Amino acid sequence: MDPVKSLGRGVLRWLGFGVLPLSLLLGCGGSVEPPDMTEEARGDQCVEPVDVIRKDHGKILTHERDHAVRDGVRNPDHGFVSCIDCHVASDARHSEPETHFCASCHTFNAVSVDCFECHRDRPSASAHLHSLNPHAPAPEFAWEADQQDVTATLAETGLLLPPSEDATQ
Amino acid sequence: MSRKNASLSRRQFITGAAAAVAGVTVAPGVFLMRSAEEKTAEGVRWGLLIDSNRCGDCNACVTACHAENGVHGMDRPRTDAQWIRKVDLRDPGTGHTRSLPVMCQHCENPPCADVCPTGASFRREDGIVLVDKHTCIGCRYCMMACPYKARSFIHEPLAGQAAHAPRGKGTVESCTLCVHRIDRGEGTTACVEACHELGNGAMTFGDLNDPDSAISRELAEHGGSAIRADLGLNPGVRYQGI
Amino acid sequence: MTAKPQLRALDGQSRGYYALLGVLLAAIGFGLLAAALKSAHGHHITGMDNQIVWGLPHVFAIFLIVAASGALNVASIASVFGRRIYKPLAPLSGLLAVALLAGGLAILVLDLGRPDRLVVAMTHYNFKSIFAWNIFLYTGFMVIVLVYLWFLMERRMNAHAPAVGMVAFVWRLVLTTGTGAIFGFLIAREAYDAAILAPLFIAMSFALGLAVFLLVMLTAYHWTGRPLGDLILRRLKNLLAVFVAAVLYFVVVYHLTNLYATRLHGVEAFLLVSGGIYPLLFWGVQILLGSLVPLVMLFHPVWSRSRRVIAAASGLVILGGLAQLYVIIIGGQAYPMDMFPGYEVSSSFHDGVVAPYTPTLVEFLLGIGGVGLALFLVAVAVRFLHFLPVSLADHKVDPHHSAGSATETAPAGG
Repeated sequence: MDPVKSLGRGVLRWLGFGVLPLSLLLGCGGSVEPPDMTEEARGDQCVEPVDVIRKDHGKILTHERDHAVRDGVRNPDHGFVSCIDCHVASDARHSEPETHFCASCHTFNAVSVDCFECHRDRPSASAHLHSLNPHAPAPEFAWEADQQDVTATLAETGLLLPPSEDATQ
Repeated sequence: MSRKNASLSRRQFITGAAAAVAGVTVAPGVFLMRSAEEKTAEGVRWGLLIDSNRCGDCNACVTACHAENGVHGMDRPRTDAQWIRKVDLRDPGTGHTRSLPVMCQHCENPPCADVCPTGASFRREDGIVLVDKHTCIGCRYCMMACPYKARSFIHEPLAGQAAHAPRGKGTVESCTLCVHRIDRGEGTTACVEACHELGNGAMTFGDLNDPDSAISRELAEHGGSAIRADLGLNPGVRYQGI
Repeated sequence: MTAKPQLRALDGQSRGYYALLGVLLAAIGFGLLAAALKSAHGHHITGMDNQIVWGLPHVFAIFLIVAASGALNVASIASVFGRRIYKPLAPLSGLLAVALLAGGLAILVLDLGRPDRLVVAMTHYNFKSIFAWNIFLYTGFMVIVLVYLWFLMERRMNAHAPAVGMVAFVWRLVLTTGTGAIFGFLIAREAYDAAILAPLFIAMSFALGLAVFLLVMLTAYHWTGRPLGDLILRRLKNLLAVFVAAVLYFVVVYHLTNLYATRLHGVEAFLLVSGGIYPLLFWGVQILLGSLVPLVMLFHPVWSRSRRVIAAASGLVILGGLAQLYVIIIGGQAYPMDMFPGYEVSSSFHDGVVAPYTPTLVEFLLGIGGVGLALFLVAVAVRFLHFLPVSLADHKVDPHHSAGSATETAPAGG
């Protein structure tokens, strides 16, 4: 076999299988605009800081759903229905992603979750917008003795806000 | 009642502190979840008592249940879901007839939960038998196993569900004993409510474990039986007059 | 000493082979199409409903799963019971077992309401459920048989093959017990709830698996023109007849037991006399065509020498097995549950009436797809791997065999 020829073939192969497809991929890496939030139903404020909820809403929902379904531990702040009530317009359809708060972003990010195969994808008429729960126990709530250390830990990490601060809603 | 107050304050603890704790990111993607548990009421066993002597030719419970839970038929009787149905009985010997509603009997030892491969069918601590639709794979073995024919499979894609009653194609469902109402502390179900408002007042909802509840007192005084008591499943739904 | 059996892959260049692959691929395609239709529209496009929750796909799937464990018989006889004559056929036997199981499981999974949640079934287990056990039994069976095949075909591992063969044999008995118990453990329905369903399914697996094996073997040797002696064939057909008789025995005991209990007279009358299609399938197809006729064909001193007769008898046994599973699975659901003994029952949810069931094309295609997948796996494997003995001529399988003994009746074996 002619060494030059075989070298040439190797280079061609390398180009064909490696460089060209990669450069095509690089060409795709332009900037993309995320979809607009559906303004009319975005809500004013979320139950968690935006960067937390943006990244981890899926985790929060999956973590707590088993408690909710199996043990009856229903946390209204993290309930699926509450998310929908606040963020989804009442005429939105998950099958038309551009109208739907959740579906628009999931579609944009190529995330395929099947929540809406069973869950109602829009607020029920009676319960549009839940009152946002302040990130703290209710003012009259008294900590039990064995929970004191939990409070301390929470306060240290700055996550337990004083009850008065944002309980205005 | 002191008990109610206690549970109220515990719930507030959850809605506040739990939300905060759930947000603690120990490391990226790792969550410190709350340790406190607001759970199903302790020591409770929810049940129904149905007096078939009072129940007549009336469909109020069925209509109310299906309206409450967003169970709409597609005009395909063989595949449409029915969470509750009126069953008519006739004694061929005497010609005596009666009618009574049958729904999930919320067994203490539910065969559906026994056979479910993924554990999607389960019994809550307060006695309510449910399907966790997050883990139901739609194998329908529970429907083979249920002696009460209480379960339905969803045969087509759905939209417009009730917010509190998620239901979707390819999963199995049945009466939830209006678990959303129970968790809100309403102490009744759609069928029982309708039975008293529009029907013959034949249904009672209550805590079978509380000797002072109306359902327990009625059962203690007049007795009651279970459908297919021979199977030893100890259902939470009891009947009088059968 | 027997010479080491020579196993060779098929040449597989013929048009016939590619035509076969084409047909099987088409069957798989139809199966996938059916699955896609089902997942788009839901199960209402099938004949299944809230009364008959398991239908024709389950008949196909359970047939394939039961036949899978039975297809391992030949290998087990060689490795567990030490009959050297069957040894050359052990690899084909193991291959069929794996392929049939794969086909059956594919149907089961694609018939789920949420086949996309297969991973849930792999990560969430309820160990009280016989279904959950079966997931382990099926996957375990596949792994064990694959290891067994490897040991058979890898010279250095040959010595360990009998040990793995023993494990595989025990495992397949447990597996078929598990499959029978899917029905045997159902307390709710009159036709099920019987421990005898487990041994009945084991007997069925012996018969159906061997029937499938015989058909595949006859076809392969006929099409490839490789020599196939009467010696091994005669033993296998006698074995098949014994298995068919065993199934018949368990069927008789099952029905006699039920007929003795007054409370089960209703369901027995339904299945045996008044239930329309079910008695017809039971008496006409399962008993007559699927058991008695094959028994006569297989034991008849003259007819049973013909390969066509053996093939036809195997086909009839398979047909009878399908009918039997149809009666068990669908007949058992069609009969109304006796919720209120002593009362006539009626409701909008079809209480107290016999549930009608008409399978649709979608279900049939899904079942055919599973069968296609199983046979496709076999066809590809024998083409590329050394599964089929080059010769099964009498002097090859048994060197002590002489022309004079050819006319003697071979012992039934097993």
